[in-house]
Amino acid sequence: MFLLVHDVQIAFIYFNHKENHSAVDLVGSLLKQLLQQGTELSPALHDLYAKHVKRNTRPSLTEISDYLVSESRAVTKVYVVLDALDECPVDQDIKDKVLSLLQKLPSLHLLVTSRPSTNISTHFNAVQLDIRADDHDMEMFVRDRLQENRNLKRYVRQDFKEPLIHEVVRKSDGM
Amino acid sequence: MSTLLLAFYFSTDARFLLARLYLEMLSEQRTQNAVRVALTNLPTGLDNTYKEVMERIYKQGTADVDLALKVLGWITYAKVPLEAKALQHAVAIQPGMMTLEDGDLTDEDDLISVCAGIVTIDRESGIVRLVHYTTQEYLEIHLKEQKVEVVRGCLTYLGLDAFREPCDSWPQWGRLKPLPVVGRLKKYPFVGYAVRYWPDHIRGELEEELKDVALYTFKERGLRYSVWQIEEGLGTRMGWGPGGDRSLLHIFAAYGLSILCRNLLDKVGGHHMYLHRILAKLMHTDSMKICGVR
Repeated sequence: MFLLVHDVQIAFIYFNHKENHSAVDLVGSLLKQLLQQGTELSPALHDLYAKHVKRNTRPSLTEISDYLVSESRAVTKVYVVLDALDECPVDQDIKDKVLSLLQKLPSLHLLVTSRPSTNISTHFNAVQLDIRADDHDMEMFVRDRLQENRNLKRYVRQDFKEPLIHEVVRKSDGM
Repeated sequence: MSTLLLAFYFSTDARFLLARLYLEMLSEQRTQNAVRVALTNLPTGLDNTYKEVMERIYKQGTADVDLALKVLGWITYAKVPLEAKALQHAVAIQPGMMTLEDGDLTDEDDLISVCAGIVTIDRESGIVRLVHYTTQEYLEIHLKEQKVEVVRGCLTYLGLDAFREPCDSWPQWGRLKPLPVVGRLKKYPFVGYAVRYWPDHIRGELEEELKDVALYTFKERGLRYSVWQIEEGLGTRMGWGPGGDRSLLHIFAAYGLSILCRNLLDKVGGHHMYLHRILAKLMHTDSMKICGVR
């Protein structure tokens, strides 16, 4: 059964509100990514494939989930990144399905990025890191854009540059 | 033992976005003093900034305003991200158009520039998108009238002379020559989207409003055949049905367009045996209900 010989495997889901994938698609993608980092497919997976090819069907969420759990047992560490989880479609419990599956993985290291609206604490106890741009970050950004903008370079005199940067940075915080 | 890191990005990206839009506004000024004045009049907060961006879009020349509204409408309502090539074709569509060639296309950089900084192109993937998810939310409220234009666009595109007939040869399996339909998808980069998503765009209340256009577009057998070919080429075809030679009712029913089905049935009347034979193959109970089959 232990055919995934690599110690560390990485899989990634990037959520985009424009792309509505089902839970089966997403979990299937995780499985595919993990399998691609292994060296061989287990006989059980071959059987699963043969079974569905014959009937022209696709594996169910449970089937894929079971394989994901059993195959990942052989791996020391599985890193999964869920990027922009807040853009996961809210209907059909997709987020819950994916998260409850991930919960079952024995050696999971999970990184979730999200707008603060997302609540995943029902599934995991997470270390939380807030990412905010401070004025210094903003200033670097504005300065850089100013440098690249031909029009602004022409009409913003050297002595007006700093006041302009300052004002744009200040104003950008007025949410 | 599992570990988990949850990274929350707060209004961070919105802050960068505002700074970007501000700089865009300032860079449109054409004197030093105009920049100074514009700087003191920058709108506060995202909503006001979007409002200002839209005002600037509407202040352009008529042709540019039209173009910008089309671009924004398509990107806002597209079911999947659109590539620049497909978008170029989508915005080139004019009512009643029968042919579309390179000479009808607008340069992709112009598609971006008329939108005053809220549209961007990802050079790597060629995808054209809105700068931020809040832009989408804003436009969905303020560009509602573009929703119907998107459906009209899909149908007009499918009605082009180029799709009146299916591709000539339909090679057998195992031949190495690429399918001719691949060439068609390439030459008309928007047709894949139009074929795949026109039903999703029209389904519901727009069916009634656009029923005549839909009926007219699909009345030709040749077009129905070439749509089927493209579905085959894309691999999106439903796994049942009579192949390329589908009736109008088949198409509408297969996509669950119940209002269009009803309109069609009202038009043809009678023919019960025929309808029942078709209905036996239908998957959507919605259409069954309409036809009184219990």
